[in-house]
Amino acid sequence: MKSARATKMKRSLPLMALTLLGLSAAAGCDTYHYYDIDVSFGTVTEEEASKLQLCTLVVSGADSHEASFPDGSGQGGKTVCPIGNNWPDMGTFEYASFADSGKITLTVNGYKTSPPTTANLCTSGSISFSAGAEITQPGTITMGTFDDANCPSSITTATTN
Amino acid sequence: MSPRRKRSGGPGVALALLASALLIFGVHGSSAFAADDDELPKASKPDTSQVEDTDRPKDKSLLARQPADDAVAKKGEDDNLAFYQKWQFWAVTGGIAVGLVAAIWGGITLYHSVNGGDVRPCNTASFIGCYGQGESQ
Repeated sequence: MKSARATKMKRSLPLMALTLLGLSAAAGCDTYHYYDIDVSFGTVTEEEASKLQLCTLVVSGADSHEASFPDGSGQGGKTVCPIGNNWPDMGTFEYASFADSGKITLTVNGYKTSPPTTANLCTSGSISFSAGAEITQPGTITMGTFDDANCPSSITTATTN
Repeated sequence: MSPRRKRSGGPGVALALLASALLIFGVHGSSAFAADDDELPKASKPDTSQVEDTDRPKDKSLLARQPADDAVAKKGEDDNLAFYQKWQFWAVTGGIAVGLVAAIWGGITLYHSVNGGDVRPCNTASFIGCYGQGESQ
């Protein structure tokens, strides 16, 4: 009786292993893919860049995500936007994604105030990648033309008598 | 007259001979029976030679307790133990427990690995921030 049970268990072990493997295959294996993006201000002057009070990251396409760059209020007090001395280069961030196919687009937006709207968008830059087998893909986002209409310089008018 | 005497003495001698023969054989036969009778009382007497186990080996080393005897005796003791007093029960139970823990741990690890595992640590010295899957931000 015991030997019959043991034999039955021994026979069922490979079946259990196969089932586990099958479930794993059915679930699919996720692999992290990293995008190391350097953000450059490009043609945006230091004076213009200093108007930015909020910078956001928007991921679209094969993956989707939204985040804000550190504004000094978070842990460690790191400040990226508003800019401190990180001009003409804002710095490099890393984005992690499971997407392994399709096109993934990362966009950085600079706003003059919070909350972020199209009416207070000062500058923007983006980069697109083909998500694939590569584990790490580096890239550079260069911020576009500064929108003076949305983010005008504060003009002080001198009056003469 | 004398021949008559001779005639009358012949049967007497024959009878005497016959009587002697009967006596001789009779005594011998009775003594044979007596001998047979004598064996029965002897058998009824307690005979130490039959009480003694003649199969018992004279060699003391053969009578000494052997390791196999201990093994048989121990097996008998083991057979009388309750199932939870047997080491086999605890060995199997321990094996099952360890197997279960290993299976659960392996399953969790496998599930975690299948789901990408741990994200790469964020190098805060190089990056202004790390975002996306597995990141806190």
